[in-house]
Amino acid sequence: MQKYFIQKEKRFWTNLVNNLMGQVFFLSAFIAVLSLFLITAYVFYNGIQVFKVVSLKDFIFGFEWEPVTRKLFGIFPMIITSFYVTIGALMLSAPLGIACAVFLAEIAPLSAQQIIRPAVQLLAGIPSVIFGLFGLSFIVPLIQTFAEVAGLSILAAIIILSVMILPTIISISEDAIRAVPKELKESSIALGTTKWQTIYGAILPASSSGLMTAITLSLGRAFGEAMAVKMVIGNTQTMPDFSPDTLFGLLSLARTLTTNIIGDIEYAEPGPHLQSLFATGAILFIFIIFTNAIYYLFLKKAYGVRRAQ
Amino acid sequence: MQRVQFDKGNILRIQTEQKIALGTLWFSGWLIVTVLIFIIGYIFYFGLPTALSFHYLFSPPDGGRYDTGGILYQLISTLYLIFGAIAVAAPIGISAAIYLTEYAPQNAITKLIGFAIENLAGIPSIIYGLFGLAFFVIFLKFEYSLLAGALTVAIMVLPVIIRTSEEALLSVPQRLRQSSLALGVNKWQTIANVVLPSAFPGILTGILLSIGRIIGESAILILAAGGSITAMPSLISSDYPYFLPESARTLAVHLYYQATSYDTRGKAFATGVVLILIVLFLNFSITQISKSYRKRFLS
Repeated sequence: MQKYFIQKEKRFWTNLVNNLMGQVFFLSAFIAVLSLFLITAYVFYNGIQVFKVVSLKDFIFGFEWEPVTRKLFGIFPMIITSFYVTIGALMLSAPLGIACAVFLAEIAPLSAQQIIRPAVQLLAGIPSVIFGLFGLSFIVPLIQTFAEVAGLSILAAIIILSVMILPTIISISEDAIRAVPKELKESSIALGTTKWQTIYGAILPASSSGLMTAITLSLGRAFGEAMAVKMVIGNTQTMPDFSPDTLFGLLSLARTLTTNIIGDIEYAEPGPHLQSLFATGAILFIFIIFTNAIYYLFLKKAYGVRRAQ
Repeated sequence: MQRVQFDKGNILRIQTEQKIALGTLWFSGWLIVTVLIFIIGYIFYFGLPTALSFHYLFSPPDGGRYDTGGILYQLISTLYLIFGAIAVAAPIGISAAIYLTEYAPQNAITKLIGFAIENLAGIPSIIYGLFGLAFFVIFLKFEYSLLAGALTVAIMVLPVIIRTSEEALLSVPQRLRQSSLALGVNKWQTIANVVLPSAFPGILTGILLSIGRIIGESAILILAAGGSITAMPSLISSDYPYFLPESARTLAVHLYYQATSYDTRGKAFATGVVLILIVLFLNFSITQISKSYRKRFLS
């Protein structure tokens, strides 16, 4: 019988490579932690510098943004507009998205699913500048024809954003609805309820934490969207006009936190102006952290969905 | 015993309710398809004639007010950006996924890594852009350059690559690993020769998804890569003692500048058509890959 010789030298090298690769893999994974730390540190560190020039109170609650001429850094109108636009977009797309998810999960025949699901995926893949272009060349003139306004408006931003966050809402809601146990649906049907009564009375309540996850995650996405909103909102730095003349601000031009950064970065000089843009980013970041915390504290346990990409 | 009474009016009401509700659900499902087709159709209607011309695709932009040139430099810088970002993000992301699926013990550090990945995925791109500006452009003195943009974008797509690779690795049957280990092969050799080849299609899907994200990205690049239009783009140049980074515009950023200036808005549609065609192609490839992948593992 042939004897097996184990080459000691070769084994040494294979063992070394084996151990080394384990370390390499660990380091690569740790880069994620490092990146998160660096991003947080750099944005906040650069942002905090502006508070040498302006107080935190004047920054957050100031009504006027004149960074170059009068050194006024008030972002209150932008905070309000960001919330207005985000909530508006969610009010349009949450019902529509959840309805579409129910349709996909419970009603649609396979052939319809095979058309709608790729469409939703494609919608998720379309770059935000294309939504911006569409908004600018279709939605804005459309608003112009119905009202005597510029067209660039909060309403246009809401419409565009609501289309953009639909895929997030649909895919997470659909997962949540599909995760409802079959027994629950069958017991409901066995009681003689109609399909709609089962959906309304059993499936939606059972998947409510998943639906809340969908809404929370898309809230973060809508709040952080910059380019498409920048292209259709007009980017004026004054408080939107909330009078009934402009449909309570809907037809008014405005500026959000994200568009403030994109708009001003083109001419911001290093110094307080640039720092104030980092501070704007930091405020935005705090809100994103806040929605993430809601997701972590209340929703993740109840509904362990993977974070949407 | 009480008799069950059927109230005809009530049944009628329930049935009508059911019809209206299901009709609404049906309508919202198809509405989304309609919206998608309308948006794409709108962009194609105005952009397709220009986009299909050889001149537009393969001549450099002239940077003038009406910009009679094409988008050659923008195509090149987009390719550079994809190449640079993927070259950084793919090795790191795949390695991280290997660590998380094959090595990671159940401890605090693993939890921290998972937490970081999940949070990175939720950060809006404008925050990444600010970071790229502060860290790569200003602190590391890369200036506005494709390199700074590519590195920032690499961090942005890292969670996408990690998550999809992780899923691909998890779907490799445990028995494959066990058979390999039972032959006396060590862990790294098992991963390199057995696990990674089986997970390859899934990992490729993740990379294609990331390419889609990179192509569509604009906020990061405006903040970190600048918007120079007429310079021949390069990732790293040999001019300087070490390198002289250059500012460049990718397709998506170019579209933004074209669209926001009234004189070139018509051209923006053509750039949009090019972008949409690339996205369509990527989506198609992903579908094909996952189809063949599913066939292989289910048979």
